[in-house]
Amino acid sequence: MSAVDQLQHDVLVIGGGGAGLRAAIAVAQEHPDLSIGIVSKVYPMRSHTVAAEGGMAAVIKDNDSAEDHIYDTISGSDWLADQDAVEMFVEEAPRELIQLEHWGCPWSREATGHVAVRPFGGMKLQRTWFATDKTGFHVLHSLFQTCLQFPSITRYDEWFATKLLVDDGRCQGCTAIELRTGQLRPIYAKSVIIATGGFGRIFPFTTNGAIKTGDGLAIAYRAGVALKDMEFVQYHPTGLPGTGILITEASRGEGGVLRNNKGERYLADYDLGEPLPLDDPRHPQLRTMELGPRDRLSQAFIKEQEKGNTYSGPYGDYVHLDIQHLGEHRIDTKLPFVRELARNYGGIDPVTESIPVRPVVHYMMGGIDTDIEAATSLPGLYAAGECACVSINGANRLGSNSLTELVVFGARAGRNAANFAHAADPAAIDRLESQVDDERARIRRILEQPSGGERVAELRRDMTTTMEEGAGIYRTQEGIEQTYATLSDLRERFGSVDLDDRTNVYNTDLISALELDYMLEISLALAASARDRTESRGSHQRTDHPDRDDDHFLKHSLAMRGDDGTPEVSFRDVVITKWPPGSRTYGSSDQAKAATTES
Amino acid sequence: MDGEVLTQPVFRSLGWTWWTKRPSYALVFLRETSSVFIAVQVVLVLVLLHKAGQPAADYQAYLDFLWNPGMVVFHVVSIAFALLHTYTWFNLLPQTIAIRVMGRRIPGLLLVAPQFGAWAVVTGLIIAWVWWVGAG
Amino acid sequence: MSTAIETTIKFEVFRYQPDWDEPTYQLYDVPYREDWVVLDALNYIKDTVDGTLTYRWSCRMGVCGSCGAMVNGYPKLTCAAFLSEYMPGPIRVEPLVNFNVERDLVTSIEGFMEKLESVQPWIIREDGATDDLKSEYLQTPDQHAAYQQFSMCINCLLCYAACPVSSHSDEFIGPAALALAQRYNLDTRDEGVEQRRDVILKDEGIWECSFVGECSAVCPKHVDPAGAIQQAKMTGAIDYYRRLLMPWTVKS
Ligand SMILES: Cc1cc2nc3c(=O)[nH]c(=O)nc-3n(C[C@H](O)[C@H](O)[C@H](O)COP(=O)(O)OP(=O)(O)OC[C@H]3O[C@@H](n4cnc5c(N)ncnc54)[C@H](O)[C@@H]3O)c2cc1C
Ligand code: SF4
Ligand code: FES
Repeated sequence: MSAVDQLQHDVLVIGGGGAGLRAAIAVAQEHPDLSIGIVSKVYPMRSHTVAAEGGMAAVIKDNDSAEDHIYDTISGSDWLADQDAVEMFVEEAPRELIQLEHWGCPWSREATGHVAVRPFGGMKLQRTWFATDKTGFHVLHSLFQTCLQFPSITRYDEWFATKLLVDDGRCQGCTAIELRTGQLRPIYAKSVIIATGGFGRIFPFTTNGAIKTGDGLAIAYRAGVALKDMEFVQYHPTGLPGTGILITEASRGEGGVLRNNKGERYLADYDLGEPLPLDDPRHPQLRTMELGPRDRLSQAFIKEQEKGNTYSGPYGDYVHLDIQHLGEHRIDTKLPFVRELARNYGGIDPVTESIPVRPVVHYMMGGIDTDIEAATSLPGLYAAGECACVSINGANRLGSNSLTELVVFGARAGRNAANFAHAADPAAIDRLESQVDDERARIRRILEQPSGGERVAELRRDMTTTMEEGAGIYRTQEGIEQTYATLSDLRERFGSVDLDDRTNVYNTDLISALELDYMLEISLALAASARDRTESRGSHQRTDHPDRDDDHFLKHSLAMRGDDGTPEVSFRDVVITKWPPGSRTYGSSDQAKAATTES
Repeated sequence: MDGEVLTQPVFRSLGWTWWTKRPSYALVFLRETSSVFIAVQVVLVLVLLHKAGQPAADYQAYLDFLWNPGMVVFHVVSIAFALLHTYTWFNLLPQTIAIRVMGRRIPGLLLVAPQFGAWAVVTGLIIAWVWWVGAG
Repeated sequence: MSTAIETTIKFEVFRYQPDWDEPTYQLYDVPYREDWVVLDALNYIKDTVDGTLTYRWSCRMGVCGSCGAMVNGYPKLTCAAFLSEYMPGPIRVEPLVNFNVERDLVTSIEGFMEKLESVQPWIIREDGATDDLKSEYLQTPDQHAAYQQFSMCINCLLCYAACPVSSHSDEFIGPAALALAQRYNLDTRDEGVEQRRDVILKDEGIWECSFVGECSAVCPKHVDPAGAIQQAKMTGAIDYYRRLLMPWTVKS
C-alpha cells in the first residue's frame, strides 16, 4: 500500500461518546487547520452516553458557589480526588454546559427561560442541569449533530480499535478493524485521544450497555500506561432487577423514597440523617437520606439484606423505590423515561405502584492514569471521559458529575492533543509497519486457530461471576485472591478460545473475543488493586479492613502491566490543596457541621 | 484481515405490492386511489353542465347514460371513496397543524370535530336545498 | 428440580452473508421466558447455539437505536419487543427493509447518515463566531415544548422501514431526517431556516412524502415524523404564497 492510501490525521480520537465528540469539536473549532479522525466501534449516537438519564452538574444559580460544588465532590470522593483537578473541573463546568446549550441541547427550563436545576445525591444545593430524564441522550445527539458541520472531521464509524502504535516513545496512532470488511488497518496520527468509556460489562449485573468493555483501558495498559484507582466500582442503588436497567437518581431528587419489606425508610438506620414526612415541604433534603451518596446507599442495601429486610424475587433480592406521591403529572413531566422503563421492563406503573430496585454496577471511578491536562505518561497520548482517571471522582463519584467530566476533560484533551500535534513530526510509518503486521498476526491467530473448545460466552460468564463474588460491594482478602486466581485461569483458557465465526464481514464473534481479552486484562488489574488497598474508602469496602486509613492510603493506586503480563500495583499521593481529609457525614450531622464551618 | 474483501449487500424493499402488506397501507392506498374517482366525477359534472346548454335530446341522452347500471355502480363507489377520503383527511389535520395554547398542544379532537361539524352543516344545507328545489 | 417440559418458542431468523447467492431463514428453538424480549432470544442463540448470528445492539433499554429489525413483518426495536406478545410463535426476525443488508440483520445506514448531515442539524447563529459563552440563550418552557417532541429521535430507522416512499426512492430524505430539520427550524435559538430551505423544499424533501403516516405509527419514541413533515409542508406552502403575493414581506 502506498503512502497516499494510508489513513493519517493530525489528531485521532478513539471513541465517539460524549468525551470523544467534545474532544474532536474542540480541535476542529480551535484548530481548523488540523485533520481529525474519530474511530468508534458503534455509530457515535449509539455510544452509551445516550443512556445517561438524570443530569449534569455545574454551578449556575446565584445561591450556589464553586466552593460548595468542590466540597461536595471532594467529600463525596472520600478525599481521594485530586483537589487541584476538582477545582479546575468545577470552575470550567458552567462554561462547558453553556456551550452545550448554545449547541442546541434542549435543557429543561424555568418559566423565566433560564435553565432549570434539580437536586442530586451528595450535592448540598440544587445544581444538576437536566433535559427531562434523557440528559445523556440529548447531550450526545447535540454533540454528534454539532460535529457534523466540521469538514476537518473524518469519522470511522464501526471501526474497532485494537492496539496503539508507539514508536520513539510517543503514540502515533492505532490499528483498527473495519467491521464492514473485516480489514485491519493502521490509522496514523501525531496525537491520540482515548475516550472509550467505562467497563461495567466485567460484572454480571450492570446498567452499562454491551459496548462498555474497557477496550481503551486495555490498549493503553498494554502500551505501558498505568491504570489508576481501578478498585473503585460504583454500584448504583436503584437498578431494575433482572435487566439492570437504571432508574435514575433524579427520581429520588424529585422526592422518591426507598423502603424495605417492612415499609420502613431504612436509610434512617445508616447514619444518613432523619427522614422527613413526604408532605413536609422540606422533603427531599439535600445530602440526606435518599439523597446521600451512592456508595453508602448501596452498602445499606446489603446490610438490610443481611437482616432479612429485603423482598426476594426471581432475580435476587430487592427493595422498593416509591415515587407514587409525586403524582402522575410530575412524573410525566420530570421523569417520563422512568415511567416508560418501569412499565416496559419492570411491568409496573410507578404512578400506582412502587418500583422494585437493587444495587447495580454502574460506573468505574478508575481508569487510564492522566494528569489534570488529560495527558497520560505516554507522550502524544491523552484520555478523557469514563475511561480516564484524573481523578475528580476518587473513591466515589457523585451522580451528575460524570457527564460534566466528559465535556470539561474532553475539551481539554482536544486542545492539548491539538497543541501536541502542531509541534510533532508526522508518524513514522515505515517504522510502525512491523507493529501493524504483528497485530494482524495476533488477531488472525484468534480468528483462525483450530478448535480449542472454549466458548467466548462461557468465559465471559465465568469472568463476570467471579468479579461479582470477589470484587462486589463488600470485599475480603480471601475473596479477592480467589477472584484473581480465577481470572488468571480464565486468561489461560482464553488461549484456546474457539470461534464459531471465521468470516470477515461483520464478524461480531471475533469482536466479542477481542473485547473479552481486554476485559480479562483490566479485571486482573482491578483485582490486584483491590487486593493491595487494605482499607475501606468510598466504594471500596473491605470487611477485613473496615476503616479508612489515611496514613497509608490517602493515595491513588497505579497498576502497571509487568513483563509477564501480570499487574504490579504501586501508590501515589493524592493532591490536597485546601480541604484536609475529614469525616464524611451526611444528614443532620452534616447540616450541623456545615453550619459550624460557615459560622 | 488484509487484502480486498468482498462485501455484497442485498437490497430488500417493501416492493410495489407494499399496499397489500398491511391494513393501514391498504387504507392509505384506497385514500389515494379515491382521488381518481373524484376526478372522474368532476369531469362528469363538467360535461353535464356543458350538455345543459346543448339541445334537449343531447342532454337527455347524457342523463340516460348517467343512469345506466354501470354508471350507477360507479357513482355508489365514488361516493364511498369520497366519504373515505374526507374522513381520513379530516382525521389527519391534527398532525398537520400544531396549535399551542397556554403551553399545551390543543387536543386533536378540537381540530377534527369542527370539520365534521361543518361538513354535517353543509351537507344538511345542500340536502335541504335539493329538497326545496325538488318540492317547489 | 423441575421435570416440566420447558416451553420453547420457534424463531425464523433471516441469514445472509456476502458470499452467499441468496438469503435463507434459519430455525432456532429458544426457551420461552415471560420477561424476555426478542433481543434476549437473539443473544441466547448467539451465546449458546450459533455464534455466527450477526446483529447490532448495545443499550437494551430502547435508547441507543441500534437494534431495529422486522419482527413478524413489522419494524420493531428488538430490545422492546416482548416474546409474550408473539406467543405461541413462531417469530420471524428479518433486517429492516428499505436498506441494503450487509449480513444477517445488519443493514447499511450510510445513506441515512448522509441525509442526516444534509439537513444541517445543528444550531445556526448569525453571532456564532462571537459567542462569548457568558450565559445561556433564554428559552421559555413553551418555546421548548414547541420542538421537544421532534428532538426525541433515536435514529433507529424503523420509520424508513415503514415508509413506502423510501422503498422506491433512494433519494427521499425521509422521516427521521426531515423531522430533525423541523426540530431545529422550530428551536427559538436557531437562525438557520433559510439555510435549510432548499434541502427541505427540494424534490427529494418534504413534497415527496405522500402522508402514508406509517412512520409515526411505528416510531417507538412518539416523534411523529409524519406530523413534522406535514407541518413543514404547511409552512412551506404559506411561505410560497407569501413570496408570490407579498414579495415585499420577504427578507432577502
Ligand atoms: C444508565 C446510565 C445512566 C447514567 N446517568 C448519568 C447521569 O445522569 N449523569 C452523569 O453525569 N452521568 C451518568 N452516567 C455516567 C455517564 O453516562 C458515563 O460515564 C459517560 O456517558 C461515559 O461517556 P464516554 O464518552 O466516556 O463513553 P461512552 O459514551 O461510553 O462512549 C465510548 C465510545 O468509545 C467507543 N469505543 C469503545 N471501545 C472502542 C474500540 N475498541 N474501538 C473503537 N471505539 C471504541 C464506543 O464506540 C463509544 O463511541 C450514566 C451512566 C449510565 C450507564
Ligand atoms: S423518527 Fe422515530 S422511528 Fe424514525 S428514526 Fe427517529 S425514533 Fe426511530
Ligand atoms: S439495544 Fe439500544 S435501542 Fe435496543
